[in-house]
Amino acid sequence: MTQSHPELDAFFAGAERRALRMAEIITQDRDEALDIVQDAMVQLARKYAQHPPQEWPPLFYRIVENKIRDWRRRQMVHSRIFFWRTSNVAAEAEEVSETQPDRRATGADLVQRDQAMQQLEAALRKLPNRQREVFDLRIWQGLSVEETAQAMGCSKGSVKTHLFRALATLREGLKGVWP
Amino acid sequence: MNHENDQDDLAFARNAAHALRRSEAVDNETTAKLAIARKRALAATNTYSLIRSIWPVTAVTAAAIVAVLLLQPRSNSALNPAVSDASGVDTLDLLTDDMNPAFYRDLEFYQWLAQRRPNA
Repeated sequence: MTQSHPELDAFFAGAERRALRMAEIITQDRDEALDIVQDAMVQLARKYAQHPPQEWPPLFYRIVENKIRDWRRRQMVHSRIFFWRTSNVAAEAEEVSETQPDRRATGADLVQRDQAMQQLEAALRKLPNRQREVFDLRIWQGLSVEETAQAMGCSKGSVKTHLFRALATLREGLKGVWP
Repeated sequence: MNHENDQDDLAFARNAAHALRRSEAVDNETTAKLAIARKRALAATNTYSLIRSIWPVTAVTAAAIVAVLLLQPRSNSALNPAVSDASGVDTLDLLTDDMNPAFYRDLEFYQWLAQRRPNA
């Protein structure tokens, strides 16, 4: 028994790359980001495939953001348990990144990310979860305030507050790099 | 002042969004991996739909099996009342006992005698 879901397939095709980048900015690892996106797609397909297609974007990005948050939490626990290894790994990664070009930037079809872009990514990583989520959904994904509130499970007022703080923090952190 | 800040925020947000969207391009290998992930997700939808469609039948079948299992011991005891009956146990005791059967006959006689004595 096979059922085709052309609408869902088309939605995934349109949303997967953005979701991948969102996850990749935080994880800094493409394979981890791919896992997050795949899990999110499976979850949306299982639970919400029967929902109207216009409900998919906020639901999908909410799942992606939750998965990213879970990943961050796991990393924090892991780094607390294996604190002596984490510092070594971080040092090694630093050395490697100095000697080798970024794996993500080697593909011919990849956009050359300049220093400003890398700084923006670093600034996004430093943002608190809620502020980063609202930035991702409202600014990057372009969801409306209402859709963002729905995706984040909070009020419209909270969305505006988080966004205001996120933009202020980012602009402050990227002063001189971004206009 | 606030208006200027809002304008700056808006310009910053627009530039950042533009740069982030530009960075979404991926190589062929990643595109292929994403296609596989998408197929898996759609396959999961099919599996889940199948589970959802057979779920009521499975539930009814499971309930029927449980009901049969619960009722089975009762129907056994109804078919073989002698097994669990007190008189059945007595009979079994007699059959398995080493005591002489004459003892039981005498016992029955003494019981009968005891019942008759008050009337005598």
